[in-house]
Amino acid sequence: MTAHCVDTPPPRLGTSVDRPLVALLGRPNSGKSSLFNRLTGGSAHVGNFPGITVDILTADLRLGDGALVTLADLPGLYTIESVVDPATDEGVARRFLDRTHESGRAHLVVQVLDAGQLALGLRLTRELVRRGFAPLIVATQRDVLESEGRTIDPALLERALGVPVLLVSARDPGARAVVLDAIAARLADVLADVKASVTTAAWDPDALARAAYVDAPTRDAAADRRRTFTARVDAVLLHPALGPVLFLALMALVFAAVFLVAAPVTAVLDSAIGQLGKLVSRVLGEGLATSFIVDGLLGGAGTVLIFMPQIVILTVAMDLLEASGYLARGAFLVDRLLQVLGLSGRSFLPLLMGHACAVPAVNATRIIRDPRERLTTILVLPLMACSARLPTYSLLLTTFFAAYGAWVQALLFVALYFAGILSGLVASLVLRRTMTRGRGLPMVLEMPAYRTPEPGLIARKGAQAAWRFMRDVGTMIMVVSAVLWVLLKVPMPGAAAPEPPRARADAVEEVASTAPAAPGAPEEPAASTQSTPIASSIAGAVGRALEPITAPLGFDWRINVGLIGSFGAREVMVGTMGIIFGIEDVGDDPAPLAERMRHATRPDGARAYTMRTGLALLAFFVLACQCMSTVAVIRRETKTWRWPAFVLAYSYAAAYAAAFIVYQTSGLFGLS
Amino acid sequence: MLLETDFQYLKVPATLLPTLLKNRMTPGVFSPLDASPSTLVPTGTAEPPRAARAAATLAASRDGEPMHVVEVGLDAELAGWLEAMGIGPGQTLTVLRRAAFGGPIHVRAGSGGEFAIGAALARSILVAPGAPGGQTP
Repeated sequence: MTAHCVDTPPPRLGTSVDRPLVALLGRPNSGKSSLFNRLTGGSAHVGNFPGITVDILTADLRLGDGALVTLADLPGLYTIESVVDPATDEGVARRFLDRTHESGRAHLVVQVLDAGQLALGLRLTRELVRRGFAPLIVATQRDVLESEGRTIDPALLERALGVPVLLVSARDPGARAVVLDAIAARLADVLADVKASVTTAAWDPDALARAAYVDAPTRDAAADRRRTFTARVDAVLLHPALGPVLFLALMALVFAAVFLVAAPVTAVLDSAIGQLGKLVSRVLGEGLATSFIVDGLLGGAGTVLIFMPQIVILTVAMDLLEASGYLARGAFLVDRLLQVLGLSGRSFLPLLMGHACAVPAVNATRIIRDPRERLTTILVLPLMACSARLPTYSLLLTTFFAAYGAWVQALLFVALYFAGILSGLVASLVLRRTMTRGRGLPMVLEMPAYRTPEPGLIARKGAQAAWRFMRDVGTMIMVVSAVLWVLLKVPMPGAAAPEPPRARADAVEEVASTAPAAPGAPEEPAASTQSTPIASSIAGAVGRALEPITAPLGFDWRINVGLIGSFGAREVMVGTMGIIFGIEDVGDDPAPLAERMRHATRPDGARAYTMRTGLALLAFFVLACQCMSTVAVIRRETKTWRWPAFVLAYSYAAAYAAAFIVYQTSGLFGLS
Repeated sequence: MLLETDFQYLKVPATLLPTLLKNRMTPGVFSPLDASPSTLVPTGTAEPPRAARAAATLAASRDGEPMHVVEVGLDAELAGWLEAMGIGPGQTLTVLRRAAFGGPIHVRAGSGGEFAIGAALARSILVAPGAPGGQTP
């Protein structure tokens, strides 16, 4: 029709405040987001509303009559009267409506309700009418209702409510024009100050809903089957024995997708970045500026890109589960397990996703309705054994436990996963009694009817996740990467570093003398004669300055430099240690580096690292939040620096304490 | 001395008291007056019949039998939120299944929604058999 979407830059409040605001509001699972997407064609951005600390998607639309309006998609909510806590979605939506009301801006509330659950939707309508809103009501799921051999009578509802009622299917492309025309008409009424013909709320939602349902004249067996579809599927998926098995299988599938699909894509992206770096080096020649571009900027970009496949896959998996209606079933199945941690079934999927990557997992906590539970989940997520920990775990296990055989290493690997879960459990229990203590929402989950997810919508959400990650997290990673480059590559002003190269040379000599047959140990003496820039770098100086503090953990300056380098992204540890020990490209095989680390010596000739150092380092890596992406995404989701700072502080403090305890107690047990 | 005692331990029994009075004692006291028509409460919904037969908690109720909510033993705000969600006094609920090891209870509400209700919450929802009017739907 004449209505079309206009591509305007994100509105600044000052310039678009005169534009009427159309707020889409409805219960979760009411089809609100589908309708929003249908109306906007997918072009939306996060709106800027003062005092609103939750992302509200908005889009500018031109209505059929040429008027330009801003459409806002409010968070799903059950009520605007019983606001338990201002941080809940209900609280946010209520604040949004109140502020819009106060601002005097022309506005219209469009209530989206699921025609299959009319009575529940009409409860919210009654609340809106009581608060003085005369909403336009758009009942969705017309297609589902009709396939089940029934429909509703919008005219009857209109007469009873005194506000316009539409029945549409958000999946039908024609719905867009119908809804936009109705919005235009309703908005004209609102601007002309025409009051709703009935302003009382003295009707019973249940009775009205019963009256509004109309059975199709002919109901066939197929329609009856579709009506009971959800119940029949639930009988299988929520079966006491079969249900959990299927749930586990599905989760395993999601994980397999992350590791099987994301890993090759990541490898391609990684090598592409590497090739680009080589090209830049060739064109610009060696030098500090080239190094800044290759190691600083491209390295940072690589970190961003490497996580992209995982983030997209996990986001899409999450959206598929949610849109199909299975997410609530999974939460139902595992809720009891998570009650032990002071969390609910809703936290399960984010926590599970955290074992692949904390970044999309922090985004996924949006499904947790209880604000305190959500915050708790966000705060413990960085403790889960994410995929970026694996290279470091693998290096440390190879370095210190290779002598014990593959089985011991595998067992330790599993133990590291459990250490992550256990530390999350302890942190969650402590947080629920301290920082996030307080009244929560009662544990109720809506179990929506099963639906086929819309591929277009899911794809768009995946693309949005990728874009948001690039923009918000990517910029931060680039900054941190540039700063770390300066720390690692720029020489400490006025500081000579006579000792470190010797220490390294010792190490190499020792490799050569004590383990001449070591396979894979590189033997270029050139690497040992030229001075290592990292030793005289700012980071090297800081690492040495930190030695008194880290000595009780068994860490010397080289490990300290590795830890400084991995502050932004923990997987960088392997590469940094490689540079320190003169192995240019550690790549997939940590064995040569492990060999050199095993034989590294202190200035006094004693072995620098023992198994105790390895255990302490593992403990450190289990707990420390060495991930700027996670910090940035926590900042984005909590809209404050307080919580990311808290995560950094508590995880590093816990990591230090744990490494200290492990190093000291393992000494008491006689380990060397 | 006495005033310094923490009365917190009294709070839980105290909040349960009105519910117990209403649902255990009232039916006994008023049982001869059973025939009286149900009255309307200010919200416009029919008040549950006085003769609500032995109200039990949702956690202890039997599967597959339609029941109606008599009272939700939470503070007003939380009870209001639950009512808006679709689990309030007068609402018909049927337990479909229970998750293992004392997990949530899957119920179908008369309003068309289905919910998973946590075990702790289910213990504070009082239900009585049948529809609010007394007859089975």
